[in-house]
Amino acid sequence: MTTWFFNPFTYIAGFKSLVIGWIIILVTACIAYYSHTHFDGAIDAHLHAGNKMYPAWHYVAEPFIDWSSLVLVFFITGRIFSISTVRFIDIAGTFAFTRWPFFFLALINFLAPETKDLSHISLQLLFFAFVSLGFCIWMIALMYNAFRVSANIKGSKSVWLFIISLIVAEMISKIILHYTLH
Amino acid sequence: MKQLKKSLPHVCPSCQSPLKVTSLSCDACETVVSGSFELPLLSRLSGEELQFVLDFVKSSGSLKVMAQQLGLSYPTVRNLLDDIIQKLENLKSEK
Repeated sequence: MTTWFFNPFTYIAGFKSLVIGWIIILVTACIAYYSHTHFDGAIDAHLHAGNKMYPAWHYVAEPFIDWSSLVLVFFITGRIFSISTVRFIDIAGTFAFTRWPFFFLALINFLAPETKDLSHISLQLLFFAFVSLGFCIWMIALMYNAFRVSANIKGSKSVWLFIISLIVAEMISKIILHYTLH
Repeated sequence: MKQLKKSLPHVCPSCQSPLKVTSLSCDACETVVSGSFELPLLSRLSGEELQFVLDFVKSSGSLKVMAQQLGLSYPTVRNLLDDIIQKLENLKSEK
């Protein structure tokens, strides 16, 4: 059961996980539109409480830009540092599948308490922040295993490469989102 | 009585050096051949690894078929194969 939660890529990868992942991303985008959740970065999720309205396609484009940035960076990292043959479909598929904790995050944002003043943080908001952080950590754990399985990189090398690649992917996604959507 | 399953040792329990075969015998006529023979590379793999190699050969070298048979993803099976290849390379360079 733990394997299915943190490393489902032992059993699922490639085209099958890509299709499931894309469905998850699309469904999450629909929920995010109504709960005003923005995925404005490869590992970012923010609740937009302002009055500015964004078109629906923004909510679909954001996670796909995030996913594309991750796939691009981790595929290049895998091809350079792995001794195995890294397939693009495995990186693309497993990384699409890693987005499913964000489905729950978009869903719980319906219950998010309204905050106008950050100097008065309620216990409810604090609890909400911890739950959201939990979903982010879960997604990062899934991403690490997606990278490890798809690129066959082990040990401390896999940890360092993952951290550096994740930072680079985050920066790329932020730059693309800044110049295209926001 | 429970049948004891013996596995072929390939490293010296004392110094961890690779073991060699020094005698072979025929069960039918009791002829004994003595000498110093190296163990085949594949025999130095563990039981699980050897089974994987056999399954790989039986599936005509198709990792996709192997993945389906084992209920694992394609990269997981490829990683297992790559690990065995790496182990064989290391064993070869130990010689």
